[in-house]
Amino acid sequence: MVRLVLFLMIGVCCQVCVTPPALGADALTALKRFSDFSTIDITRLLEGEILSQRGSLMNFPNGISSQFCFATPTSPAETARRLRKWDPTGCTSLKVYVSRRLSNPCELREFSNLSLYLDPGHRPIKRFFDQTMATSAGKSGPNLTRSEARDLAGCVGKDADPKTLGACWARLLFARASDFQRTGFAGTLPYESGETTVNPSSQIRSMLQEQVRITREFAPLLKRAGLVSDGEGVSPLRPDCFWSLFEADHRATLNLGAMYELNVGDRRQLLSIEYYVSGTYYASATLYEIWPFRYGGRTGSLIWRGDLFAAPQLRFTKGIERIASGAIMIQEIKKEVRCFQESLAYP
Amino acid sequence: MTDVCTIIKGIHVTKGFYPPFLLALLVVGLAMPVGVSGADSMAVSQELDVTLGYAGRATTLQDHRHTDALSELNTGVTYVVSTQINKDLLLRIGAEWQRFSFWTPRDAATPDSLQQGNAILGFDYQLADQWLMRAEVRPGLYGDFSRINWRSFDAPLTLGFAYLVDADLQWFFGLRVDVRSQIPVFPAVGVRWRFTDAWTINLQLPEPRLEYDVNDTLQAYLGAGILAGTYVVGDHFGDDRGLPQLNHATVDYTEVRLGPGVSWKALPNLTLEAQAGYTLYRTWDYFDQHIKLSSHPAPFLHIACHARF
Repeated sequence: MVRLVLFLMIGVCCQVCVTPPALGADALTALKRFSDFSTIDITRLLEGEILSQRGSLMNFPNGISSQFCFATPTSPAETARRLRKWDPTGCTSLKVYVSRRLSNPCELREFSNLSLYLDPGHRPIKRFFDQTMATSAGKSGPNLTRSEARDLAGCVGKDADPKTLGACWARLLFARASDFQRTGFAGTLPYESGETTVNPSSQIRSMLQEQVRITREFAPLLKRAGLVSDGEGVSPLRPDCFWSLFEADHRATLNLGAMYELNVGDRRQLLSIEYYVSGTYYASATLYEIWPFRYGGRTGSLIWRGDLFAAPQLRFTKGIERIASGAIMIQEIKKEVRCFQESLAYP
Repeated sequence: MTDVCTIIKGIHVTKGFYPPFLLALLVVGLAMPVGVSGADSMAVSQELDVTLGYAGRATTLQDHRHTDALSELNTGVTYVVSTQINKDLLLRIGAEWQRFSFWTPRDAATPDSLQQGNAILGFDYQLADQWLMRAEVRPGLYGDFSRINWRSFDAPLTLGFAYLVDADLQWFFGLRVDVRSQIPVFPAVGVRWRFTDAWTINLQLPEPRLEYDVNDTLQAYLGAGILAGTYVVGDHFGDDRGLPQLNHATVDYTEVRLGPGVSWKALPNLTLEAQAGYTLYRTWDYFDQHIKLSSHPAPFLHIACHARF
């Protein structure tokens, strides 16, 4: 109820300030053109409902996808701004321990507080500790290159102290983040911990290649982010970079990510990439397209969101288990979207 | 995968498959797409479950009177191919063979064996965002296989629904329909709840468990197991035992066991299990003839292999 009142209040305020176009054929036609949503019930979205579609099976065996559609009472510019600066740690159900934006170029000290969150008494952290301690030059539980595994093993030694472990991981993350900021996706280091070498950027590209309609819709953004190959000659976008420590499948996981934004007429497009993940999965890409709407006296943003995840276990997850994985992924992402919607009630 | 094949081969040699099972296996084999790749290969999944169990010698009682003692060997093989018809619908075709062998005196009212060789036909369907369903019929022969005839034919139906709350909590609702059983419609409710990072309560029939994740590949559990089925014994089963009313009688067999076990994910798609404990409850209920046998608790050992590819 509180949410609804705030929604209405913000909606009224926004209407006074700007007069965006009515939600007409343009936004809905565009949405239907590239998304899996054949019908959109705007009244359901205004009531706070998050529409979702599980993606079809991919040729790429590690990939899974889903799509969402939801509304916010804020303008596209404000919605995009809030998405970029959103701190998920405020929402406990998401189990994000820490999330920090990085300067460009980043500095080692920006990772220095990692050790504060490494409490080995907490089981998901303990599993992360165990994985790290078991890493040697020839064997790595986390997603690392052989060289990183050797360096990490040498750095941690036999000392399972959170401070040491945090400092070692901070150095590793700093090196990867710096490489990414210098060279973009071309410089993403591979994971050599499994039987086969995996490059997270290639994983994302493989998934995007199969989403032909989505890739076409987001072509300018993807080109300027450097994710698609024919992006030569376009001015690159400068991303917001971040790192996080969070729980994935009940184990603590570190990631490095980047978020890109592009204005396309009255729309906004955003791309959030996890170009490094320490475990459980390889990489992810989240795309947003945001349109302004005016409907029944309300204004705000209509948002389409597409998620692509690459995970090693998906190769072996088939049949009903695969469908269930997709359905559960949708529920988990809906939690995140709800948290974001709720965060808009606060300045 | 070699291990799986070896186990199957071993059972094949020692126990022998019956023609209906071979026929069903052939149907499944022919139904399998050949030479598929990419999304097509992901759209086809195969499940193979092999189980072997032994229950030690225990006294059997008929109407509370001591009759004799028996031990039991149970074996089972289930193979299912699941093909994606569209984004929300999967077709399931498979075959199953299960056998209970009871080492018992010739004149005892407990059968020497109870077997089933059946096809599996069904589908999985995503009803809504959070709802999945499975419908499965298992037409085949259910009996002591002393002589196979039309009376042995049965086709129990299973309906199951899953409500996926999130990654840690799922509810299950099921219904088993077997018109030949004393309880023709058997409803069930279950839940899987990962209530801490290490503990999961997994109350799904027929194997409810309390699970503890030791590490990424090893799980320890305390679990129950329910083995149940409805079978028809042979035309002269009763004559041989001085109980002519048991000729071609229908028997509901139920076995409930409890004990600790371990589950080891040897490969991402291969899980091996071992469980030991006590068979707490075992009955052979010739409900039409009002003759019911039961047995005292007996220790059991159970091993299983589950492959998904």
